[in-house]
Amino acid sequence: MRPRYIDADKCTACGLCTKYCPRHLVDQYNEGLAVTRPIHIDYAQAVPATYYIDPEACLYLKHGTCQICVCTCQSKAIDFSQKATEKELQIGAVIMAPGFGRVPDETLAKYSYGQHPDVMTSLEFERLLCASGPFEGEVKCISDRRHPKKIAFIQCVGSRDLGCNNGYCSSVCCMYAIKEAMVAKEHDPEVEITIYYMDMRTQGKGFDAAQKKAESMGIRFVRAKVADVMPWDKNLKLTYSTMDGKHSFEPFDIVVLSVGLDAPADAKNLGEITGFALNEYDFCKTETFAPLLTTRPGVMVAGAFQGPKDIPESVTQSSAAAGIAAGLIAKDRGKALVHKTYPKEQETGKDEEVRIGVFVCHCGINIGSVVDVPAVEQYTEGMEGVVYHAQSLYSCSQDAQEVLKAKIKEHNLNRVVIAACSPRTHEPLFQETLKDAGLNRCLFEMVNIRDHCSWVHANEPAAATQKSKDLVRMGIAKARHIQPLPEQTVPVTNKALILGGGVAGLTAALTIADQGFHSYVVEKEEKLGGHLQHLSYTLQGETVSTVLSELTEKVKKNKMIEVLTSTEMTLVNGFVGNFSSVLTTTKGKKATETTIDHGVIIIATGGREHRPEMVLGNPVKYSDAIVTQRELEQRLAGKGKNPAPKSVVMVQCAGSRGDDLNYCSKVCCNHAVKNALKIKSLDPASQVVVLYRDMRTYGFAEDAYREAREKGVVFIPYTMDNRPKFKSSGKKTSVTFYDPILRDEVTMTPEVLTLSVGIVAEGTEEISKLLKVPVNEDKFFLEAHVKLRPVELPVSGVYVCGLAHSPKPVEEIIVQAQAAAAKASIPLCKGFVSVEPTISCVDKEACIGCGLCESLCPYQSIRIIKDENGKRKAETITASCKGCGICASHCPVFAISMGGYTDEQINAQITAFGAQ
Amino acid sequence: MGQAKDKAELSSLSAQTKLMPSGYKKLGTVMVVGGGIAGVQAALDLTELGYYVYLVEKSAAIGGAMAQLDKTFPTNDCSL
Repeated sequence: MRPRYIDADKCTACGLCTKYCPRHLVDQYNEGLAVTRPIHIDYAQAVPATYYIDPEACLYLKHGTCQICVCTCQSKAIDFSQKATEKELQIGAVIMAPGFGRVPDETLAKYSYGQHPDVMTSLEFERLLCASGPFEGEVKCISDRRHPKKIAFIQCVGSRDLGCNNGYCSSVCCMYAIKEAMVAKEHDPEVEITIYYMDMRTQGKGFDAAQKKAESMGIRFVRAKVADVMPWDKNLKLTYSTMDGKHSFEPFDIVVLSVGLDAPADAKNLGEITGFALNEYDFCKTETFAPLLTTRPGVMVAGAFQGPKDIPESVTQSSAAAGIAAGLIAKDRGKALVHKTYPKEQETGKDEEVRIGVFVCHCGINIGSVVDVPAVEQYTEGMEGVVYHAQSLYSCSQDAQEVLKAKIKEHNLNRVVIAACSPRTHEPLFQETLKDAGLNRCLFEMVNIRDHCSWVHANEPAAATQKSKDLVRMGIAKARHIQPLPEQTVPVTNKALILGGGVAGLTAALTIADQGFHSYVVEKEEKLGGHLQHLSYTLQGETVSTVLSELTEKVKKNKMIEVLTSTEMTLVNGFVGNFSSVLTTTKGKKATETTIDHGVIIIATGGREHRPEMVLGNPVKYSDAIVTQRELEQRLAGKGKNPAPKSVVMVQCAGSRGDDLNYCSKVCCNHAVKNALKIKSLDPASQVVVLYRDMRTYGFAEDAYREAREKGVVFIPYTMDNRPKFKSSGKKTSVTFYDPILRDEVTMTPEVLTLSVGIVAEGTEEISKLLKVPVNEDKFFLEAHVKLRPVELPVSGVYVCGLAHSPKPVEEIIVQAQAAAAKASIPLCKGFVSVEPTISCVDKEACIGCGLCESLCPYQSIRIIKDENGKRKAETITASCKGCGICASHCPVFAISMGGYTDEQINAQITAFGAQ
Repeated sequence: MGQAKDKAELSSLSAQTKLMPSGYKKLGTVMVVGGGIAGVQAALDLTELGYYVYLVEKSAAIGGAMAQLDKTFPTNDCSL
């Protein structure tokens, strides 16, 4: 452990030391675009919120002089005597998540990076866009601080480039370029933005829609190879060549290089220390059917080190790796846990004096630059019940929590109002602090003066300040009436129900069995295996059937897994931890019903091949000569005499991306390349032409795409304005398409026309109705949070993985299944679920038993029961209530109240709005 | 990210970090190397699953590359 030279227990992160430190240091957090000091913190919200000293830059540590910080620090936290320490740890499993590295500067030199300040990397541009960045979010040229009028993005810098030994696609650059372009456009709608690309690879769920939005905002996408970028007067000259062989150039103010994700710089070292192998690009070596296992047992990998990937996929892999690690040492679960204890909750009686503390946050400049924070704070002086008020720079920082705790004690506060950002993100943090201070976490009211004031009224600071005062006044009025609410827990039946016996469901069942829990796998077909049964080989060359039979055998032999084939879930009751489902098994004409109890549900129901009858405006009749990629694969893997056709035309995006389905199915490009390579290996003389819109062979699959081109597979792009035309006569079908290199129409009559069709959701709407979980417009399940909760659904205790979530290749399905199983194991391991205190509560006296609430509840969390007198009364199921308030707002006799949102509290708030 | 340190221990990586062979003494612990979004998420899930976690990060703060991002695609939510 390297020393910080600062005592973490004493540092309050006040920042005084940085102010007085005399030496400048390039700020790495801001990508070198700003300066900081050797003693500093990377950013205000950093965890841990302790400053540190860069020993390479510190005047004392380097030259034995200075020490100014020692006398400036009020809390005497600076400790130059700290030494590096070594620790020996005994651990049961390891997860490697070292992230990614940087593309070397030499690769960027041909674009004048390092020679002209206005050529920057995408990460540097990201910092420019950020409010905490070098220009506080204003986009300016680095060279002369002028506002740029034209910005270019160059894609695939350091990716798909053998010149720098990065043959792979970095998988994230297309998305972040679109994001940065859109944010820059929001900052200045006048700015002209062009993105130069080879293929737009927005294959993720909902990502194509974002690209369309970017187009509608006026962002220009140009398919071209950029030759170079040169300084040109005050501007930059970007030279590029398009598909038709034309060379053009254009001036820009800023050129952003969409740099790829390299392997971590210390990958080799990590591999040697830990004893696992790397792949040819120095990323961690893994296999298709065990995507997170390194070559060393007990060591898992997650995130970008496994291969370049975006945030939701990293998060998914992490949960999955956690699940695998937990499974390995399941017998030791809980043995090393340290339980956090809170001080005894102080009693807050109804009649006790209300003592409110108000804290108004600057959020750096996020609120403070628009809203007059000191005025808002002063405004609360003398308000009824307010005994303390203060401001803070970042009320979410760790030191601010300490201040909050101290002030609660010092002033004996029993209600806390924080005027800051959104309760959606920060309420849990403040509530935790209240608990630490011995207060019930519901004695807290948050006023959102960032989203509701400084952000939406950024150009009217006076009005924003007035509105902040109004909102704070209303918050205080409500706070006078808030009451402590009990923390409840509900026991859990520690079994899982898994819907779907494909690779996703089977993997999930095994992962849960590894934790020591029982699961039921429900498959509607007679046989386990799902779609994997139709695949023969993978892009990496594995034989699917052996892997699948091993997997199903493992499941069948596992005593913790009960498999029910020819079975469907027909009814589900209950809530997280306490579900009860009716399963209907159909054998011949006989249908039998079984009821099982379980604590969680994993949806792994899969999808199916889409078979559009109209492709790109051409009517299609499937036959031996017109097949899908799946059918072609079966022919190629078959024992027929001539498995490889003499000539094949493959048409990508057949029925996808706005042709019929609106989305990209993520797997079809890889499937086409896989089959094309297979054909070439069976018969090198066979002619294969692939007509595509964007080849989306992201990640390491790019290698296969390159190999296919090297082996003579011809890839020709088409656009939706100029689509390939099919013409059938007898058994033959001819395809006419425009070749942008020949600049002419070409007609071919292949032996087989192969359509790369997409994947559609199957049966998701029925399950959506049974479980009341939402699906998106494409009928795939909608996760609780696309970035941070990618395998959880909005209904507690229900998880999703595989094709039911969105189309994806098998390695991603396996990871997602492991992640869903890991997440589902959490309530099973704990044995209980904690209930949010803000839930509905029925006044049984007032309830007339009309049942309106039961019919309206979107989460099936309120039901009608008969009380001891046989009268119908409503009752809240606390474990699954989400506190949405629909029942309370519709109750005709006001018998339902919401914890934390009672009529009394809301009325007080409204009355306060009218008062001045 | 506020809860990351919950039951996880934060330390800096020294080049000499050695990984223990099987037969560990302290039962039920996992080491996560890297404190970016992947490492932090793994650490959080492991603590929820009932294990003690050593979260090892070589820089002075956890958060990794995601902490440098302004917004996230495609929802443009704040990255921090």
